[in-house]
Amino acid sequence: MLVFALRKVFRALLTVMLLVTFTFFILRLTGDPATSMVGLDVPPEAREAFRVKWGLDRPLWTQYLIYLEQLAQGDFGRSFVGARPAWDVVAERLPKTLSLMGATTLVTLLIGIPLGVIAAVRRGTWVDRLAIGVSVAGLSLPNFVVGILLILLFGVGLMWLPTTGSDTAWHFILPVVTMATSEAAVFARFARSAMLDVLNQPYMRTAAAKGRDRASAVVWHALPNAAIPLVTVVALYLGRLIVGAVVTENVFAWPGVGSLLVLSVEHRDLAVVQTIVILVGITMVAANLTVDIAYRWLDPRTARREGAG
Amino acid sequence: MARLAGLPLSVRLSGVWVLAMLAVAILADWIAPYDYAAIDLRNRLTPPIWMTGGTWLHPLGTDDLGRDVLSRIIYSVRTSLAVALLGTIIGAALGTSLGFLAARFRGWVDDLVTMAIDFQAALPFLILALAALAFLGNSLVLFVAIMGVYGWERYARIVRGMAFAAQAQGYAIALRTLGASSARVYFAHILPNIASAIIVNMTLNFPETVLLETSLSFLGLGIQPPMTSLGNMVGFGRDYLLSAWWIAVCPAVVIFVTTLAFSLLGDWLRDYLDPALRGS
Repeated sequence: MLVFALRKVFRALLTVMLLVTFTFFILRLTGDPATSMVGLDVPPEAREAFRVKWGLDRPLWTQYLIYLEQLAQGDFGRSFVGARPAWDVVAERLPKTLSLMGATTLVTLLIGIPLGVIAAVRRGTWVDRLAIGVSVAGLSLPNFVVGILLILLFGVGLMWLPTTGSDTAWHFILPVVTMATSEAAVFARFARSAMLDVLNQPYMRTAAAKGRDRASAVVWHALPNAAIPLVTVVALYLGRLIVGAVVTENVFAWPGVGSLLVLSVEHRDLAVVQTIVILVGITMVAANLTVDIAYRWLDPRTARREGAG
Repeated sequence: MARLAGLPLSVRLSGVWVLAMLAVAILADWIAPYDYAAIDLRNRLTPPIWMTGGTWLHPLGTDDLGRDVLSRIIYSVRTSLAVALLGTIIGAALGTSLGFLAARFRGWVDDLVTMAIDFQAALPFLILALAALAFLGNSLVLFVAIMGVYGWERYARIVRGMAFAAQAQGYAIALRTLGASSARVYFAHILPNIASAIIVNMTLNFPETVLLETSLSFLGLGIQPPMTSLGNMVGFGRDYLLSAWWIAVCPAVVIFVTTLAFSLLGDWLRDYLDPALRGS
């Protein structure tokens, strides 16, 4: 277990290093930072002074080491907008995005898992087909289409709910429903197939033979076992959630990291884009690592199945 | 389990819709009533035919510059399908080649490809796409290249696994003993044997590529005007939701139905071609 965990941690660190190196070289390859920072209309001496000041006159590998040192100290460079530290620009918007993601996760679990479980228990009936139909439709609907239709219905048509900003609890409803639509569809699918695997196990037959009624057998015996494979979906879900937030925040003018990212791409504010990419990368790597280790811990059978490798 | 004889209604309808969209894309120049960029300032924001004030001149209404929404949708379908098709083909070729390379050379080449697959799979692709657009600036060539990179790791993973298995089979060993070159063994003999898995992955990847393209175009970072795509039509129409909802809603409905049809077809094709791959 310890060897397994250490090897996974090593792989995770390697992936983060790869990402950081990748962004560094892409950033340096896409043009002279001195030119893009101070512009072409300044005298060459000023540009030269800028180069010396930021260490751009030194060899690439020295620059790379300096860059790593800065990152380790939490220095992600400066945003072109107001010359503020890129990390501060991102961090101040983080709570808005995290609260949106948290609320979405809650709604996703509350809708997706019961839907999948009911579909599995009622396999082959109209309930099952309806649940599958809804989840296929939910997966095919891009976030921005759901968002636009919701704005049209509840914002423009019925005028029940606010459609831009994030000031009150009411503001959460439409963005959260937008994001949860496709995420609940994914969870329903996985919950259904995980449940189907579990429902035919001998212990379910034993529970029935003991005279335990179906509903409590499903809740007490099937659900905990079906939850284990669901753990592997967590990292996949997080990735989808991040992408969903980028699009949804833009639909509803939600002042979070997602709308900041699109704004920064438009303005080519590279330090901010780089900060967000590294932040997302580290989050995803950490999530994958946690899932791998948690899965091994929750289900020791995986260790035996994998053997020594 | 579906067989050709008893196709479910949903799959038939999906097939009809996909064929219709392909026809629209190919015949755009002939069936579009107007040029997609033709501005008609006297007929701005005309509503669609079923609303009061609608006319048969513009069955789906016009936008803020008096451009015909129907014609714009027809050309947008062409752009979106062409970009997604090109992206899917590039992705399949790239992933398949890398999968073969890993299987042929093993050792550090395999390690490198596997590491790249893990790296790609760990990061949400939209974020990488946005980063590439920020660093390299937007152009049509770059945009198509990004669509091409999307999903390569899934082909690579499937092909690598299947090629490893195929190498050990009689025909591959026989060919090598007869002195066939590696390229010949892989592309002329192993490829046809694993083609169905690649095709299934392509049909599943295609609607996702459409969604990625439309999402990026919606954000204003994909297809740039004067070109038109389904995503950027919705993006521009968003500003007119209050006064002229049809500008955004008509292309949004086309996106939904098209990706739904491709997903249903892809799921069915997966079950049909390879019952072993079938998920529950």
